[in-house]
Amino acid sequence: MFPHERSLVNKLKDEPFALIGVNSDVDLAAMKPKFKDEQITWRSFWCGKDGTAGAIPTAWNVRGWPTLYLIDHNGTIRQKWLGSPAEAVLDAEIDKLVADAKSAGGKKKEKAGAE
Amino acid sequence: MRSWLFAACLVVGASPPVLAQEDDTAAAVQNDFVTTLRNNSAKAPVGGATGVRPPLISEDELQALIDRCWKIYDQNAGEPAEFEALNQVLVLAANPYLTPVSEKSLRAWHDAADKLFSDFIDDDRIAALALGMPSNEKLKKEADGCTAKLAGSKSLAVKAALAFRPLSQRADAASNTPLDAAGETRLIADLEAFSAAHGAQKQMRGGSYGDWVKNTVNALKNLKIGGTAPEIEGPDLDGVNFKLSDYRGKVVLLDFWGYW
Repeated sequence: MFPHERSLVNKLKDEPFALIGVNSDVDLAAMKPKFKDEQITWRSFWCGKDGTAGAIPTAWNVRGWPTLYLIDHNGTIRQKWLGSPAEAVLDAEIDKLVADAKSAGGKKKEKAGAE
Repeated sequence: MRSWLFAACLVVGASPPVLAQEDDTAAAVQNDFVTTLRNNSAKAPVGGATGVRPPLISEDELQALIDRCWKIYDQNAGEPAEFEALNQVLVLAANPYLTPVSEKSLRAWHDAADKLFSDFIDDDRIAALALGMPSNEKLKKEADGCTAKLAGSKSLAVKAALAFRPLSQRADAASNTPLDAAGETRLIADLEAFSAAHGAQKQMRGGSYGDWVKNTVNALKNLKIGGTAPEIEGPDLDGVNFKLSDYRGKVVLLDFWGYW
């Protein structure tokens, strides 16, 4: 999953897209050098000492790792996956929503210009 | 030490010994099973040139492990060793790594299930089996027969597990394809009724069925596709607080991950 996520972050760095993690490692200090090795540069919430049983995974009813949610620019949940989806599926879903976000952003600008 | 020797035998390709020491346990058998899979997988990587996954365990290797379980059981090792030995036979015989499934392992599954589902029918430990019957085609009919026997169990854990299974399937389906309002109301009512009857029973891992219902109802209401993502607020990996809604205006891929 990490290599594909790295390439997503790279490919979409100038687009209205963000990869946000929710990390459930308990011993964060021990793990951080490994995140660096894997070039996990994107921002993550930390679940705290309870790890997978922490408040965030509980509130989000996460029952397996990885779980992914795809959220559009309005904050609406559009897809969710338990386990990694096929890369082509994930890419297509993201591309579609990024295009929507850009056209919505464009409209907003047009509106602002007209005023 | 013993499992190390066993693994060493596999590496040099000798046939694995049937260990009959009195201190052999189902846990040791499981450990050696996993070691066997790992060693064989290292010898023949998944995929390979043909992309076909070779069986990760041979018929002989599997039979040797099953024979050890029967030895443990036949030694009248007492509880919990006997239950665990029978249970381990089911785990081994229904494992998905020997393809095609051997007739011998099907017979072993049948024999162990026969004993488990008569001698231990009222035992709480059998609830785990109510939750996870093998999906193997050849065992389907037998597995259905065992599930039918479970209906007569006096164990409260088994009763809870049997009621849980169809509900959890409905909840999973609703998670992928949101229900209409009436369907959601109906499912939530059924979940609450289940919780009232079985909520105090513990699930296999972690919390109670009552907790499961609470989290599942929350997911149905607040985590559905088409609904607004709940807010997350908390520290990042450097201890700096931020919010999920800081990213409104952008598409967000939210990844629950861990390195472990």
